[in-house]
Amino acid sequence: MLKIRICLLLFLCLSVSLCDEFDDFEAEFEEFKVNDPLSGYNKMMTSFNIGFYSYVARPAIKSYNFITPQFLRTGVKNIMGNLAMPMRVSSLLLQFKFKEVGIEFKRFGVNMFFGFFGVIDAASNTGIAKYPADFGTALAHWGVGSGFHLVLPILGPSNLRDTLSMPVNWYLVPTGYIEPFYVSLAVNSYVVMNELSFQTDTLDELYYNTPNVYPFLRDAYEQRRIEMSK
Amino acid sequence: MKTLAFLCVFVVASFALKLENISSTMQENIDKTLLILKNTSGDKSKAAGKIFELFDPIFDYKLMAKLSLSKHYDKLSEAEKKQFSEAFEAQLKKSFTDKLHLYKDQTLKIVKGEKNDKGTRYFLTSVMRIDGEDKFVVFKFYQNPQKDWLIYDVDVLGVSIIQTYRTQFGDVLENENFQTLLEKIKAVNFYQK
Repeated sequence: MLKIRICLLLFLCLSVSLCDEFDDFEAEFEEFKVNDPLSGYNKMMTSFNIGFYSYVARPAIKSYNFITPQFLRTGVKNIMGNLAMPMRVSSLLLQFKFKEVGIEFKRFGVNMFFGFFGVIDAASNTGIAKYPADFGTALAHWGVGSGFHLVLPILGPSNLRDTLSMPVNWYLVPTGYIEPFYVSLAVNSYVVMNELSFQTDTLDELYYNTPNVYPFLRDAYEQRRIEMSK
Repeated sequence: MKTLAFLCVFVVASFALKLENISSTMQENIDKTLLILKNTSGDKSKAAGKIFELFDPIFDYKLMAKLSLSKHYDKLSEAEKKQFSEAFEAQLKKSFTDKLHLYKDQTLKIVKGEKNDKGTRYFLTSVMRIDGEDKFVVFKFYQNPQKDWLIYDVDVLGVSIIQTYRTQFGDVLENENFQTLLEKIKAVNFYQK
């Protein structure tokens, strides 16, 4: 009888401890919330974007990959990565991250002089870091909230803050100053397509290998932006 | 009773991961994983099998399944809980297996480990550098009642795997039902598309 009582007591203690533990976990995960009053529209737009990717963008990117040699795609990617330095530097400056700004300047110089004007990413090859940042992450760094989540046509997940930051980001990269505007738009679209040509495997995994894609993309986007703004 | 006690001790002794060993064991397993990926290029399921042998004792899949369902978990019957845990583990492993080729040329180095304020969690941060950019992967450990440290979540680039599952599954359960969720988890198979 005593043994049974001891066993019951131990079981009770273990149950209470497991319940407490589970409540702790719940509290940990409940800290993250996304403001999503437009979830109906966002879900619809996500379906549209996946359709656009499947039937338009993906075939176009696959064709582009097929006809364009790897070194050319890599060269374009490297040049554009180097030209995006003003956006990274200005956003890092706004966050008072002066050490990172210095490394970004060093990176730009190394790529310009030793990487044939940025065609080769000599800086990465020699271990010089890159710090992704844009106007949206600079605002987030100083506590500007994301506002509501917003899925943009073709461009995908965003939020109010990042959407309003887009015009600023546009003019923080030299390709934003190309005239007329439609040429600038075409150049930037090509740059995005070239960048995506390295990401199709990842996009395929995200779009086609996720049980419930919209909440996944929404949370992944918002969590990633929080991480980038630290 | 003696047999049960022996089994408990045996299981704990076999899979025990103590706090002071977390960094070294994880780095060792990560290095072995990258070696497996290099040596078994093209054969994903073979690579995955060997990798799961390394990590299965460290991941608490049952807890991960429970956390991914949040408040909905307790509403399930015992049979449904079992069904869900099995489907969840299979999905997690399948998702990992499908992504293996994305990491085959990377190196993942452990940079730091720190406890939370309460001392109940341990966050092990590792980093891989891709095109100059540092990408962080954080393995989150908790201490189970046997005083071993097990992984309950992984943050990849700041994105918590369990957090994203919670909203995905919660959304299905609020708008549909458990059977639909189970079907969705089991139906995901990119290579059939």
